[in-house]
This record gives sequence, C-alpha cells and structure tokens, in this order.
Amino acid sequence: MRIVVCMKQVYDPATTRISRSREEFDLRGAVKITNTPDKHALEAALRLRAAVGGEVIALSLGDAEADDVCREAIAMGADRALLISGPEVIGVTGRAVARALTAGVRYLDAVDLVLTGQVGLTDGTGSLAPRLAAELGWEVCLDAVRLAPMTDGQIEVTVACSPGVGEIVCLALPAVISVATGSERPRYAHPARIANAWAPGLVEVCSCTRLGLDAAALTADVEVGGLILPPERTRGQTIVGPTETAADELVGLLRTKRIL
Amino acid sequence: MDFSLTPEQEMLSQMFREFAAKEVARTADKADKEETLPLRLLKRAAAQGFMGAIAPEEPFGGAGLDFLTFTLLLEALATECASTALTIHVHNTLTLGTLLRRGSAAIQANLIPAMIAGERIGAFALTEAGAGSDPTHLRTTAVRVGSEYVLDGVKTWVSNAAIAGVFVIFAATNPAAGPRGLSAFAVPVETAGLVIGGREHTLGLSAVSIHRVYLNECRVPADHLLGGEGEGYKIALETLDYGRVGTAAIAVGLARRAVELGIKFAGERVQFGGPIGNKQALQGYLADCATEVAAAEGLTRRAAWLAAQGQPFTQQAAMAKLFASRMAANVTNKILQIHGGYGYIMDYPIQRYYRDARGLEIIEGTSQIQQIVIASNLFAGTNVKVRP
Amino acid sequence: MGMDLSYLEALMGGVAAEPTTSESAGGVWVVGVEGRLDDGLLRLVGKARVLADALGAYVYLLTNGSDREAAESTIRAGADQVLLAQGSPTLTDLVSFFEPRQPEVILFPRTRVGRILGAGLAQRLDGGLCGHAADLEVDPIYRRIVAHQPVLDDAARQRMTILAAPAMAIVDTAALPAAFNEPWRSGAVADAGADWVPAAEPRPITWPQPAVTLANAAVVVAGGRGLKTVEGFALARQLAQALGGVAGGDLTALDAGWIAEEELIGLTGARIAPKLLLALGLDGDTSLFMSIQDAGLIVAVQPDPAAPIVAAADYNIHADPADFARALLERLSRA
Repeated sequence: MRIVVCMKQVYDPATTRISRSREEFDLRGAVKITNTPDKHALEAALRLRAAVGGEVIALSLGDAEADDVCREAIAMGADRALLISGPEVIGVTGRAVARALTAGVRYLDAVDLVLTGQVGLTDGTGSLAPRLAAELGWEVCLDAVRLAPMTDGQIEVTVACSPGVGEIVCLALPAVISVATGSERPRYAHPARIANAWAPGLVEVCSCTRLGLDAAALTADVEVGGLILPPERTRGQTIVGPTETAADELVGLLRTKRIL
Repeated sequence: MDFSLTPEQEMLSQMFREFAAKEVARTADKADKEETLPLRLLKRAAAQGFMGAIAPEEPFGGAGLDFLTFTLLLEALATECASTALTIHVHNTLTLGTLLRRGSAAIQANLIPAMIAGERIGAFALTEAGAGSDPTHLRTTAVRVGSEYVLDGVKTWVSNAAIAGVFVIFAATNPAAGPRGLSAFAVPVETAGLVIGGREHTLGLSAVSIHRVYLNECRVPADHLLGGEGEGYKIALETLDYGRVGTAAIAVGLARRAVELGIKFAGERVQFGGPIGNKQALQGYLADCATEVAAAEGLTRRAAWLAAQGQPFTQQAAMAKLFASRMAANVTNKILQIHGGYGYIMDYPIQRYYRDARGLEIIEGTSQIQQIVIASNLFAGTNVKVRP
Repeated sequence: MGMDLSYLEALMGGVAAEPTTSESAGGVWVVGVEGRLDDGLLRLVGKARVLADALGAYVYLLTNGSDREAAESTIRAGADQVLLAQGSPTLTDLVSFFEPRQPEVILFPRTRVGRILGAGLAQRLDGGLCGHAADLEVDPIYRRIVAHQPVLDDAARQRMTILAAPAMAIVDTAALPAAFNEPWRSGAVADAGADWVPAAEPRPITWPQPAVTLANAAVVVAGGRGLKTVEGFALARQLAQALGGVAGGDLTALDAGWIAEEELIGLTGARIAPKLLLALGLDGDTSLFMSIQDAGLIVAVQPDPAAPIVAAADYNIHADPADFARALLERLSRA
C-alpha cells in the first residue's frame, strides 16, 4: 500500500504569544515545529505499513525550513518525502494548498491512501482532508482513531464522534482520511533514523511549475487580517445583593456562559 | 568557530526534550518519594535507544551518539529528573563505555546487546569504605585461580546496584603494587558470590539505587578482565573523565529548570501588592542564575566536544564538573530562597532540585578532587608537588 | 472602467438594492443536510439573516431534516425560503445543486458532515472558505464576508476576509448567539427538487472513557473552612452533583476531615482546569492559586472581602457559603 501523509510546519503554540497592543501574533521567540496532529497521521500510516507492507511518503509544502518536517517524518519512519517548495507557495491559502498537495499526490503516482492530521495546531480548521478528497475525487473520512485494512480494497475506519462514542465506516480505496489526535500516540524519532535522515535522495524538492500548477491555480481564496482579542479577564468583580438575588444572578451568568 | 549544533543534533535534542517532558516529568516526584525509578521508564528509554546511547550502531545496534550529543540527552533528562539522568549516565558512561573501550570480544558479545536492550542495567563499583576519593588503596582483591579470578571484598556507594545486570568492579590483582596493581572486571549480576547489600538513603538523587555490594569469593572467568592486569587505575581515570562531563551536563539541565521554576514563581507569587518578580533584587538574582547556567553550559559543551573529537579533555572535564555542580547547588539555593517558605515545604518541585544539586558536588569526585586534578595540570612541569 | 457604486452606497448608509425575486441568483444559503433540524442550525440561520440584511439578500435553507411544519421554526429564525430535500447528498449532488444557483454565501454547521461537504464544495465551486468560523460579518465597503476564525485554542480570533466567490464558511454554531424566534417573519417552504440517496447507516461503537476526576472535570466545586461544618461541606458535594462536576477542598477541608487525600486541590493534591470553579468558603493561598491557574470562570463565595481569593476570582459573592449553596441548589433543582 502506498500511503501519503500530509505534514506541515507550524509555530509551536506554546511559544506563540499574542500582542494585545498590536493585535497580532508576537512571533519573537516562536519556534517552528511539525504540526503534532500530523504526527498522529504518520503514526497511523506507519502502523498500516507494518500490517500490510508498502511505502509511507511524507508530503509537505512550504519554504526551505519545511525540510525539517520531512527529515523528522523520515526519522520517525517514513520511507521518503516530497517537499513542494518555491517562492510561489509562500503564504498560499487553503484552496491553493489543496491544489498543490493534490498535484503532489498525483505526481507520486499510484497512491492508495492519503492521511492528514485532524487540525492545524494554531488555526485548527481541519478542512484539508475534505478539500483533497474533492480535488482527487476520492472518498473521505474525518477524525479516524483506528484504521484497519481489509482484503477487498477497502479500509475499515473507526471514527470518534464524541468521547467514548464512535462509529465504524468502510471506505473504498483510494481515499483521504484525517486522523484524530485521540489515536495512537506518535512514536519518537529514533536516534539511528535521525542519524540517517539527512542521507541524500530521501527528500525530493519539487516546484509547483514542475507539478503543472500555474499562478492562477494558486491565487488566494481568503485574506488573513488582524486579530480580534477577547476582553481582558477582569478579576475581582462582585455580584452584589442578598443571597437570593445573587444566586439568581449566578444562574443567569452560568447560562450565558453556556456552563448550564 | 561555530557554536551551533548540527541539524541531527538539533533533532535529537528536540526528541530528548520531548521524551523527558512526556515520559520522565510525570514519574519524577513519585520516583523521588518512593526512592525508586519505575522500570517501565527504563524500558521506554531502552526502546528509544537511550540504554545503548553511546554504543555504535555496528555491530551492536546501539544509537551511536557522539559524546557531545549524549550530554544533550543527560541535560534533557536532568531538566525533569536528575535521578533518571544519573541512572542512564552511570549505565552508559561508566559501565557500557568501559566495556566498549576495554572489554574482550567475548564479553562485548555476551553483555552489550542485553545492556542496549535495557535488560542489563550497568553499575560501577570503584569506591570502598576506606577508599572514597582515593582508588589507590582498594582492599578488594582478585586472585587468579586457574581460568578464573576470585574477587573478595566490599564495595560501597554502588549506583544502580539493585537494578543492575552487570557491574564493572575494581579490585587489586597485585595489592603490593598500589595503583599499578589494580584491575577492572565485568561481573554479571548472576555470578555466585556477588551479593547486593543494604541501601544508602541519600539527601537527594533519591531514586538512584545506591547500595553496598559484597564480593564473597566471587568467581569470574578470566576473559571478564577488562583491559589487562594492572590497567585498572588507568581505566578508572579515563572513565571518570567522561563521567565528570556527564555529571556537569546533568547539573546544567537541572539548574536550567530551577531558573525556569524561579521565573514562574516570581511571576505568580504576589506580595506587597504585586508579583515578587517586580522586585529588582529578585531580578538580579535570576539574571545571575541564568548567567551562571549559561557559563556552565559553555564549559560543559566544550569538554564534551573535546571528548567527542578524541582530543585530551581531562582538565576541561574536571573544570566543567567543578564549576557546573557548584553552580547547580548555588542556583538551586538561590531559587529556593525566591520561593521563601514555599521552597522549604515538600510540595514544590524546587526542593527536589535543591537536594539533587547538592549531590552533584559529591558524586564522581568531590569538588576538592576536581581542584586537585586541575591544580596538578596547572603545576605540571614546575617544582610544585600537587598531592591529595 | 465602471464605478463601484456599492462603495458609495455603503458610505451613504449601506442601503443596497432590494432583492427582486427569490428565484434570482445569489442569496445567503445555509446547508443542514444531516436529517435533523437542531438549535445549532437555527442559530446559523439567524447569523445568515444578519449577513443577508447587510448584503440585501435572501436567506435560503437547504435541509433534509424537516417537514413543512417544522420548517416554520426556521422561518421564525430568519429563513426566507426553506428548500426541503429527501435523502443525503453526496458532494457531487451538492455541486450540481448549487452550480446553476450561483449563491453568494454558503454556510455549513461545523459537524463532521458539514466539514466534509462544506470544504469539498468550496473546492469544487472554486469558492473561498473559512474552515472554522466562530462569527461572521460583512465588510460593507467591498461587500465581502469576513469570518472570525478561532486561533490558539480560541485565545483570539483572526479576521479572514473571503475573497473568492461563493463565500463559504463552516461555522461553530455553539459560538453563535441564540436563535431568533420571531413569529411575524414570513417565508416560503418549497421542494428542493432533489431526491438524494439515503446515506448508509454507520455501525455505532462505544469504548470506555476515563472516569471524571478533579484533574479533568469541567466543573469543580471546592469547599474550605468557610463552610464551617461537615454538613456545610456536604452542600458542596450536592452542588457538584447538580452541576455535573466533582467536589474538592483545600488543606483546611482536609485537616477538618471533610475530604479524602485524593480530593485535595493544591500543589500536594490535584491541579485542576475546569470551565467553572465554584469556591465555597475558600480563603485561597499560593499553593491553591498555582493549582487553579488553568481554571476558566472562577466564582468565589466568601463573606470576607479581604480574603486573598477575592482578587483571584472573576466573580465574588459576599455571602455565607452554606446559605448561598442552599439557595443555588434550590434554583438548580427548579430548573
């Protein structure tokens, strides 16, 4: 089975601050990491490979730094990686990302399964998998916690709907599946694999032009603007009045905050 | 001149920190209170290649880390739990390292794969009751009888003793010859006559299993001799050079987290109408601490780099150990002071760091021994005699 | 080059052209095709109404989860036209439904089906999509939809202007204000002319979940010395039960023997991160404050206005904790 795992580089939310005065991200000191949900997808792919054999290919899109993502994927166990890079992919939005990755999947040829992470760590829209499926014309399933290959060219997917409750669906391959963060914990990269992750020939870098995408295909569908910040937490407010009215007021407050 | 790590080292370091944060952090307090490391943690560490960190990939299947990268592992582990770091340090640097450098082919084939798999933890038995910092006066003897050596004596302060599967044991094969009469042996735990004695309950580094070890006419095959007869002292000294750099790395990792704890507490603890971090005196404290950590890191990295390059590093190792362990004790002391009363109760993690740091000034050569090593190099070629 | 008159109109008060007929192209569409009509969908219809009013457009609801009667509620919630369909659409079904209609805006609820169809449809129609919107507004000058997308676990929201047409968004309906229920609204219910194939029923499955503890509870009621007696503390337990949460206490409660060790909140005990922490008669100290840093809303009931917790709580109620607990219990049991 040839499995492609889409992996992207994001700013580590733990190191990303928000500047209240400038109403934008404060990225001084922010560290770029591999999107952790994507590592769950890679873990699922590696487990599938262990069960049925085949090849796991990491697919990423970004600037030269996104090479780190490919190397980490290889250090975790991916066989090789394709990095779609070049000045034209900097800052592209969701629609274009899906088109470029689709071109990447087609370029890799004879792919049976595309896995993505559930969401991006910072923005968390989780729309890549259905976008890819629409572009490729393949079946799609979201939030998988378990993948079990079947003999007849299908895959059995266990999906988490709410904590403790899910459903089992069968998809015909080829398919696109987003893997939930509630799935098996991703393995750590192994030292021996890290040592070999920079061996030549493991990461293929490809421009959009070579994949047959023109500038029109990469135009932005959305424009990212400034941040809207919630009001600063004001502590020490008082609900005045006698016990009875204060209790009424608290019940109302909990209702508006959707706790009741 | 280039101070940066290679991309491989960066990724390894990131993986070490991730492992420490996810696997070590949650076991640290419990391990400290119960004076024992969870075996599951060491199994996980082995699965991640840490128990064979410095063993080469070929032919043993180790992780093949160079020594500098290995110190990054110790640093990351010590950030969460110095006991875990020290256990893995003793296993790798002192035991596995000695076997790799000096073990016979048979010994290596027998013991090293199991050590890498974490099935045999390594321990290092040099110290004796009458010979702590002074390994020239060991009373444990090893007598050649036919194809075997018979070991007899008592070892103290043996780290990892109760969890160990293999010991590196120093004994006098020729007691009359002093240091030149010392030899080192690899002794599997199942060897008849090797008995684990009572436990030392320590102020800090509490989860490290430190015991007395008895050798009661303990017979080992002659090929378990490491190096040659009479090479024991040399083996001890070269091994301790590596050991000192490792201990320094543990001190750096530990102190770095202590500073983070101090910054966090100073921002959260409100007194006199504001966080105590607003006080300039405290800011000075933390600035000093962070600077000391950075200085110790520099010394330690350089010593580790020299070791990895195969250059002489005895002097730098002793300096790194002396400075970094003293720094860790000093920094944790200051950060505990920032915590005030909360630092003195057992609820906050800083007390563990404070207790652990103190031990680093003592193990693997006290600060005074490091001073002697350093001074003897300073006065080399002069008529001044540096003697313990 | 023609002049963009909407720009001028916007400056002069934002009065756009009256929509002429409901059959014309455009409109703000809400797609709810999961076989049910829930409150989230009604809220989404309400948001569509607000957008449509700013754009001068109609609100259409395409749904398979309603009969003609139930459709009335969506009209009261703001829909101008409800299109009833049968079965469940595939992505291709939706593409062929929307292609001739040239919608201006299409909104999906952020459910699993909504996420799949919404993102897929955006890709097929070459539209612009915000894949996770907590709110939406209209930029009157350029007549564009601006979505508010939560970032960093909703620590802030990012403005996202949707450039491509149709403007689409997958909306977290739980974040939207309550649905309109305005009986004077009028609208039409029509057949969508779509007879889709019923969806295959998935096989349900359940798996055990970790028990709710102090560490993972969404609501924690914490009691302290101010509850005075073991009977007083029992009120904290009752309240926790009524709120679907877990009770705990501070060191004073432990010392009084009201709680077990594992119910202790503090550095020696549990660190908690509930959405609501109701603190009954707690004074609060550093150990407690460091353990409740990640709590959402903190409400403290504490008669002493000088207690340290007063400054740390979002809301304070200066009352006897036990009395207040009784009053609150009584109201909760009534609701």
